Amino acid sequence: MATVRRSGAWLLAALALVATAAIAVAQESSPAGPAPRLVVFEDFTRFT
Amino acid sequence: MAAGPAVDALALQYQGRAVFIEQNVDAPIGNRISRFWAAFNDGTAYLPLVILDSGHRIETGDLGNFTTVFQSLVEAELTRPPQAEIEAYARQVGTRMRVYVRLHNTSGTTLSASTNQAALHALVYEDAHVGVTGRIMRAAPWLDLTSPLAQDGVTSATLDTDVLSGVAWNALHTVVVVDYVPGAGLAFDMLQAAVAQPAGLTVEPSTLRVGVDSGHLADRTVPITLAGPYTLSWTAVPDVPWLVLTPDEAAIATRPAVTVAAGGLARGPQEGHVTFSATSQDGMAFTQFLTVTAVLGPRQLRAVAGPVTPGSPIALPIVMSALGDEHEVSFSLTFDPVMLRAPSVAPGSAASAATLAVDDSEASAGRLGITLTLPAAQTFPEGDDQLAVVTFATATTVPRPNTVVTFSDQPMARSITDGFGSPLTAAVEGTTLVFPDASVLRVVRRHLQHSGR
Repeated sequence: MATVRRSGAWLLAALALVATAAIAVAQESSPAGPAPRLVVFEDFTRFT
Repeated sequence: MAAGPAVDALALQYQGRAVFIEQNVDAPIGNRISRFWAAFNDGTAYLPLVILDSGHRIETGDLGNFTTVFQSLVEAELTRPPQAEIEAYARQVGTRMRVYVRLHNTSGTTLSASTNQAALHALVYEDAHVGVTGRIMRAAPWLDLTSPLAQDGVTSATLDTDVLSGVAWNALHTVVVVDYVPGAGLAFDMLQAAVAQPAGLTVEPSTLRVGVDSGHLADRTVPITLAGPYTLSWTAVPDVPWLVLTPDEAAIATRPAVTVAAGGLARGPQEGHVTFSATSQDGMAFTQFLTVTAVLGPRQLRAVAGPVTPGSPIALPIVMSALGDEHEVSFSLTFDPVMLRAPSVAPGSAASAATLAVDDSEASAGRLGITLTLPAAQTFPEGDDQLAVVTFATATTVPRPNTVVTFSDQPMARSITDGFGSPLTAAVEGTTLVFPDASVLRVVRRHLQHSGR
């Protein structure tokens, strides 16, 4: 079975991909009501 | 079933409740794989690596029956309440995806990159079979919450992807995730996620009917909800003098109210429009319209009398002269329990879609409460609407020929509300039931003559 080892490579790759981002603070209340949880399932596989 | 087909089947099964995104473990995008290692807390893992909700649950390796294992993981996560609210929009800007996020912290904890590694992620994925499933991650920009976001605080952010090449833009989707490290351990948890909608402007409602009761002439005000990327600002321009917007320009999060000026209306229905134009400094421009139909006329609630056959049931229709914006109607009827008994209530011809609630707990004392509620966003049609039919048993003999049925507030207060819960005015008119002379109990009066005896 294929294995993968933890390394620092993912961190370096991630840092290189930090997006251009802007942040601002708003005080207004949300017009929409609370939504139920949306589950996020992520799987990492080897393509070769 | 192998992992890939199992994930594809689950993606279909949980559409709208869960999203499934694959990545190449050898070329991970963004920093999502860090969530696996933080939760795994070891050096070597068997493929595939699976994380749910940023690592709140993980699995690795050949699980045998992938469907069963993955399904149980998803089901377990679905039971958890969200701890944030996210409103997200996305649009293509050149060869990048731009994502607009509005985050409301409901976790009870201050979110901060420095204290609990809180961050926003925009996961951009494509419906494409590249690895073993039908969806592949294309970009995952993230933003650390460097400014602490207190409980109930709101923050907004824009995230841009790097240049995306070789993708089918119409097959791209974006999901925004907010996660943090909740405790003393290393594992992350996801507070909430949301699918980003295509950037645009929405106006709710887009059509509006407002009745103005000529018997209680007053302006009517209705709230309007605008939604779109948090960077939008809007202006509103009505095309008739009897429509007033307050405010008439603001940031997108500000809800305007539209007021129908009663003094400017002609009798009957009339139509006006409001044009909402929204723009942003980064080049967005959208236009939407609101159509308002205002109706000026009398709104009245009345009981309609029919001929009485003593000893037989009598049906009493309750009719509303409606202006077309009435959503819920409550009232009580007061009657003489000696002459009218055992009331029963059936929905009227205009109320077949309504929920009918009857309070007959005081019927023996001559009081009956009735509420009719239409499904959300529905209103009674303009004109004479039969709301309910109240059927009474009548006495065979009665002490007087006439009895009145009047509208009252006990046990149910009189109330008519529109679809927004705003109270509406109306005149009420009871009715008089006339019993035939033959049913009136005549008391024989004996005229005594003073005989002196």
